[in-house]
Amino acid sequence: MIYTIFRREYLNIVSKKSFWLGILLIPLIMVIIFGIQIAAFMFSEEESYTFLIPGEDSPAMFQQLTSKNENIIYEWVEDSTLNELMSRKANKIAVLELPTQEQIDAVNPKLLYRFHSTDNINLGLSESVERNLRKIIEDYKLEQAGLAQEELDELDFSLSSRTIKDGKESNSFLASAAGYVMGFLMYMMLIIFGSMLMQGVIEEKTNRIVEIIVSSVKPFQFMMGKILALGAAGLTQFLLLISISAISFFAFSLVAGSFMGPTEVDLAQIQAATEQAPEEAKNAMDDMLLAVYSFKWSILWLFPLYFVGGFLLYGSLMAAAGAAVDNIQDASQFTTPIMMLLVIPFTIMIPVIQNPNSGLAVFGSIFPFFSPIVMMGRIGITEVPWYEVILSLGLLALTIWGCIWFAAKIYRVGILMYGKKPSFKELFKWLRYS
Amino acid sequence: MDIFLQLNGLTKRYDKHIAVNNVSLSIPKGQIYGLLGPNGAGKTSLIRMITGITIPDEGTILFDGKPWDRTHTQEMGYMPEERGLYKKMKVKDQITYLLELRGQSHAQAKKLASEWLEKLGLKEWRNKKANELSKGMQQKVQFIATMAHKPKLLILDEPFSGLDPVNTKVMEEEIHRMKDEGTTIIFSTHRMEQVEELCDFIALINKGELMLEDEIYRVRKQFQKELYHLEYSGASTALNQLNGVTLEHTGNGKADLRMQNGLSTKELHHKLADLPIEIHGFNKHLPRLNEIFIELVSKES
Repeated sequence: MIYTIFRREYLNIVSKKSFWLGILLIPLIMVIIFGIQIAAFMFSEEESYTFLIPGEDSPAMFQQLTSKNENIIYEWVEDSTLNELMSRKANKIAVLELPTQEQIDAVNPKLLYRFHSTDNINLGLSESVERNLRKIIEDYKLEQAGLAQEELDELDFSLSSRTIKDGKESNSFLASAAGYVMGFLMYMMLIIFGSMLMQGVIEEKTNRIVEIIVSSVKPFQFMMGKILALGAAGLTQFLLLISISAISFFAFSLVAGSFMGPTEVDLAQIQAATEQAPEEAKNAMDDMLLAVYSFKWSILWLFPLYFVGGFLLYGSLMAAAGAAVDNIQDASQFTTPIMMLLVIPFTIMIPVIQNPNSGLAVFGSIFPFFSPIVMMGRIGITEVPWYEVILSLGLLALTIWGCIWFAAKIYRVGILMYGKKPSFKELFKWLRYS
Repeated sequence: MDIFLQLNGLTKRYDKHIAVNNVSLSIPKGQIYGLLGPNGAGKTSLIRMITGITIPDEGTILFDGKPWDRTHTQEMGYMPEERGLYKKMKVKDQITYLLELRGQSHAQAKKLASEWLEKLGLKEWRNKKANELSKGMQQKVQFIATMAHKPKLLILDEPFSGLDPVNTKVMEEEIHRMKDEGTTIIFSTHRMEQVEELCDFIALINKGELMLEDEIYRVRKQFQKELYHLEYSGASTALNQLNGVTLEHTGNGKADLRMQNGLSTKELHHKLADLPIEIHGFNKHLPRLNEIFIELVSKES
């Protein structure tokens, strides 16, 4: 029975234009919103961060390294090599590995510097550091050239960075981006598929087909068939999004690769080359391989798990909201509190990403109504202990059980009630109906 | 006569309002059973308990001699008063889906849908969306979805509302055909004149309570009165000579005669024959269900 319902509902959703439009629109909306968020992120308040510069290994010009940003402290450590300083790296203290004198003196060099750290360096800070370094190198180059504006082009160089966290190369920007994107995707998909579910319930009620259906199957079976079908449609959309992203990523890599190298480029070769000699891989290709490398793959299987959980939770509440009313307009009374519950975890995403092990982040990733979204942000940027994931999923499962019980009671009564919009008080009365 | 569906003391309450109050019905097998009563009498609440949509607060239901359980819903067909279809779903898929929910296999449901769409003249519409169909056609589609799986119990709530006479006739024929095949049919309506020619049994319900349940001819006999309708031509004053009769002129050449103290039909005949009028029609009044209902309700209050 439930399969029959599931099949109809699933086919109904995936045959809708909006389902396919969503696959195109979701990435687009994400790019726009994410762009705004990055801007806010870069200018947000920071804790101060110290960068140690090994005097032995660094060109003397960097002694003058200063920053207008008072949160950035540069410390030139005289008579120390990079290796000696590595032991001093700690939270909020990173070691800077700078380009050598010869590298800077080359014509149009592609320069690379590295952050050796134990934590991820905030995007705003690393941008500032890069500006400071750029200024020093620019001044040096201009001085060397005896200043000729026409010759400025010749002095052009590129500068890019790597963060080496606990000896592993990672890209803090990408790590926060991946977590944020996945959290946002979760938020969007819960809202979109939750609303679709609610609209379906209201439609069946106004169509008056629901009475025919619940004379054949239990209202609970019908509701669950619908929730599961919408959840499956959501997963389908997620898989399609991921596949499309993966395909376009590799397609782009290949295209980019063929522009970069004089010879034909093989992905595996480049990857191997990058691993052996990271200093020499200084192009966009390298950036992308690094991106793949520092991506937390666990997010790809935890996302579907949390999406199913989150959808059972929010979907059942949305189904109950739809059943309680006769039209979409009346539904807002009940959907507003549900939406609030969804917006809170989304708004705490930024602080969570900036500080993924804070109390707020841990609470958010365990509290069942927030965990599907907040956990995505945390997983993206840090290693979440397995017992926290288990606890979070366990609590989510318990809450789902409670919500479905509650929703089933409301749904069963609501779908047969027409006319007046019920109050919350009446809704709770429905719970006691046999 | 075999009882197919036995309701014992069914009660359903919503908050303080009692929708159905201690109603017991015996619905005979293979008969058309009319469930009558004004809007809001509790007919739909009663049907919802039979179809398993709601659970009675008190009372029991025996389905074909066995205590009600959910598997029995597969042997029922129910066409609610407020009914609809998925607007954007193809007619044939829609019937198939609803039949599958009644326990038919996908293949069987599909086959039945095609067969019946053809039988009721909707073959060319099978791949149209429901909202492209006229209201009458939609109603036929709903009817097919209700009965194509040959239910043992067919429940129709206001099946003819909004239907034109031609389609009403088609549906009536199908209902009679199903009765002949042994299907028990419950026919709920507030339009009592509709049931008189269709039903074998009736139950009258008002304010959640059962007022009367019997075979239809016995109900009418029980409530018949010593009232005669007369059609004549001649001077109306001539009638005033009649003794032992309360006379009421009901129009030009029409009168109702109500007999007093034991005057027999034969005696009245003789008296009328002696009058200087020409008689065109003389018949005994059989009460309409409507009148019976109004009489019962007014007696109660």
